[in-house]
Amino acid sequence: MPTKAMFLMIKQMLQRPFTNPFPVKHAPKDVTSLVEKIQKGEVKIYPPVPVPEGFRGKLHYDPERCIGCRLCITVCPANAMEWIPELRKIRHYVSRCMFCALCVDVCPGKKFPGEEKAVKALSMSEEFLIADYDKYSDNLIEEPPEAKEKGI
Amino acid sequence: MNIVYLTLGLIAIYLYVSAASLLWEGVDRKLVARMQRRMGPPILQPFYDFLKLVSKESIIPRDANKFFEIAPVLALASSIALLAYTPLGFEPLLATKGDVIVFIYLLALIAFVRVMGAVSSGSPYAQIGAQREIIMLASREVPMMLGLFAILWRLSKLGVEKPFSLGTFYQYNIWEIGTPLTVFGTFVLFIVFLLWLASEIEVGYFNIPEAETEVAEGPMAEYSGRHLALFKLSSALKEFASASLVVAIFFPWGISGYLGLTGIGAVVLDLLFHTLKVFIVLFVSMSVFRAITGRLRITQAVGMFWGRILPMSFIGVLLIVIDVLGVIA
Ligand code: SF4
Ligand code: SF4
Repeated sequence: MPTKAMFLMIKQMLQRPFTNPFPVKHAPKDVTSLVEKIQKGEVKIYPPVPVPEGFRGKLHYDPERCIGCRLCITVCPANAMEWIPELRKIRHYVSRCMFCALCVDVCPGKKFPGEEKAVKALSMSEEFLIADYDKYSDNLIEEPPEAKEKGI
Repeated sequence: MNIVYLTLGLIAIYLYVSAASLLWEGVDRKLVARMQRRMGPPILQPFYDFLKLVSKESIIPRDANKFFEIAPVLALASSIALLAYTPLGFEPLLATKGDVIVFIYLLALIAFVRVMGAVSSGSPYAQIGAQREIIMLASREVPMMLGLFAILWRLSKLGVEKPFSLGTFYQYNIWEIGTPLTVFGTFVLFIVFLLWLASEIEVGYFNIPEAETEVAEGPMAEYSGRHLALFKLSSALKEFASASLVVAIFFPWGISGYLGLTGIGAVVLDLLFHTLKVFIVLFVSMSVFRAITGRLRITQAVGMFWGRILPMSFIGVLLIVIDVLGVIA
């Protein structure tokens, strides 16, 4: 009989569980009341496991810094970038992106007057909770604000 | 006892044992989770599972025959009937001379009905599971019957009014005979019974017919919705009844006698105490066994039954027999 395993199991039974109960310990009956309770401070939120340094999360795009060089479109293996000729900027679809950060590496960015160095227009954020109902939702498309206003 | 009280008693016992056995399932899942350093489901999870299964749509396969839908009902019916013969801290409701045969028969019948339901589903996975289940059934009952009959025979030597009834355990118990040979023999039989219990409820080594990862739930492969709920409930009841048998044979002591209770209070107290003992036996034979052992192959399991457990049972029985007949007095 595997007695050694038995003692190990009994010992583990007395230890604390090794689980991160994200986001709350018990599944909520309905989310609205859960959110209310959290605002009142009755329920504690357990944060997710922290991301490491250099984590590649959702891509962040800063249109101000974009010079329209199209390098990111050339380099992107997943074709997640779209060229907007009217604005000479790009649009990024997070639902296609595979988070390789090649575009970040290649982006030259723009130097504003008075700055030492050019700052890249693309950067990787630490955001990873990006589930959505619709793959074309606003949350999953990064584009210059004018593109939305003009409906391009 | 007249028939109305019997019926009411059976209904009460049925409701109580359903609640207790489902509660134990929850406790078991929690304990096994904690052994693996998980948090596990809430204790009442099996009740939620049951309600959810009852409310789900039940899908009947195109190739299934009539028995597919009847089998779950029959399985639950036989496990409820089994409760009338199960010792639950007091004499079984329908205790008569020789009711042990009915007990064994009903216990085997539940597994057999499961097999019939699986065969009727027309799914090859269920057929393979059914084959394995029937092989296990044929192997596991022999050592158990041998031990059970030997103990009942030994007790009937002491002069009981209903020989070969499961009620005799509450008149005499096997430990109080007290001679070294009997005590040792009984201890060997106790181990046999713990292994039998594990195989009866199909955990650990013997989780072969239902092997989730190999044959996709085996006999239960095609069952869904309320049919599956009935099967789950009947196997929970069977689990409790099998463990009750082990408790009744080896630990039949009640506590109401010490507290000087009589009447209905004594029955309730003994029932609760019995439930506690059942939980402890199930903890050893089910939770721990399930957490520390993997599944055997069906050939290994059969080899274990006929090659190890049956000889063990023989040794235990022979020790008891030698003691009674005084061969080496
Ligand atoms: S991270 Fe990779 S896949 Fe995503 S947009 Fe940049 S280059 Fe394309
Ligand atoms: S985001 Fe960077 S690489 Fe892409 S077009 Fe703009 S400046 Fe060029």
